[in-house]
Amino acid sequence: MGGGEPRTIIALGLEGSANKLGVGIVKHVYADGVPPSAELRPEVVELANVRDTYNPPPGEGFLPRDVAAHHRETIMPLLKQALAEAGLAPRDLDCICYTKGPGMGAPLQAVALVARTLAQLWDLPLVGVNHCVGHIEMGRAITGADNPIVLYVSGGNTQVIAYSQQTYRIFGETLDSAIGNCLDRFARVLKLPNDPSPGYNIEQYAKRGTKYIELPYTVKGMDVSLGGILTFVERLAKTEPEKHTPEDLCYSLQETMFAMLVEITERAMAHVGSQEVLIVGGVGCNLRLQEMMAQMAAERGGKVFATDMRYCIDNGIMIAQAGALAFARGFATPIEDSWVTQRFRTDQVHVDWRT
Amino acid sequence: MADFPHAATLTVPFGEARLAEVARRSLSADQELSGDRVSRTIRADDATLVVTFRADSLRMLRVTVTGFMESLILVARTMDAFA
Repeated sequence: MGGGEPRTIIALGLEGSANKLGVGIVKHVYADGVPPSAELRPEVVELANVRDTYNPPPGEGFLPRDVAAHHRETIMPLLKQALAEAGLAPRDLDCICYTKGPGMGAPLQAVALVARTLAQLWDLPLVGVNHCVGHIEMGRAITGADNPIVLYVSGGNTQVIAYSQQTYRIFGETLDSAIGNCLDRFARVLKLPNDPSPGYNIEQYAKRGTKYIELPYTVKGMDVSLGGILTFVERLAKTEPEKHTPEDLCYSLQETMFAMLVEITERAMAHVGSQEVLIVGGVGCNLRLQEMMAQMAAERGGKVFATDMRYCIDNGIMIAQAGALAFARGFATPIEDSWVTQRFRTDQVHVDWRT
Repeated sequence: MADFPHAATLTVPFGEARLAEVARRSLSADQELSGDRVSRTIRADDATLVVTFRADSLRMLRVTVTGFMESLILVARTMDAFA
């Protein structure tokens, strides 16, 4: 390293692949320039990270149409707030990063439209970012985890990921529903509020649970199946409500599903020889999941890294973070190629900012 | 087009040729979701955006134009806020 001209990259990040709209601004400083072949490890300065969440009423899930309408309604004030917090004008930015996918089509498209328009108005390069890679890079930057096994758990994704040869490879994943989707749907069965999030409310109920109810435990090799557990626990809640308290159901649901995730994460650690686990995604806020994972890691002489709600719940700065790294390597997305995609797997991204 | 008997054209003045071109590029990047049932062409004619839709049914045409209007308004609002 060293010897190069100092370089600073200030990136704006726009995220809206699900029910959170996030705008973030990050500054990367390369004091000795961007190294041509080494892994990029800039000094990371958070300049803004603001978010607005669309919450439907209790008992209801969010629909793509309504989420897109929320994002369209909220994005201008949120952008202005982020720029004001950072104390920046558009001319101070170096690139505009947005979520290309995966996620819900209509909300992704609404945010991408704004990103494309701003990129042209301000004459800045556009950088399309994979949402999952955004989570991973933000988690690494915040925790300092160097080369962890990544457990990515959210409303739309459940994956165990390990880095190898400039790719975030998926070692295991859910065969049906995402874990956050299961928790959200069970919260709707119990009519728990969606504010601040259904998963948070399940977690609070689970803390008061005392009786473990045995639920189907379905690990298949490196993958998990979660749909059957949800159906099973929904039936218990609906047909025998007098037999089981909501607290015990939430507790048992969490314990069972989290144990499955711990099992496949541990197996991935053994395969790869990694001692670190990084938990990212909205469900990664769950303290019980962090605790169970930490216990497993401690038994292996390893360590768990997790972030708090500012970063593990979908946000704009994670898109800026991953986008700024790609941008430093010369990556940009022409407007014509900036279409959004509901399917965009983590392992489709060339991670050329690592070695 | 034989398969797409229903058509509609939107003519949207942008005031400046530059802004009409920005809108054209922003709005062209994503394909229509029901591409087999509707076709869309977008061009900028000086300061005017001209969008033509053809669809296999009136319902499809209405849904597509309505959806496009939401995107168009968002682009225009972005220009109002930040141009």
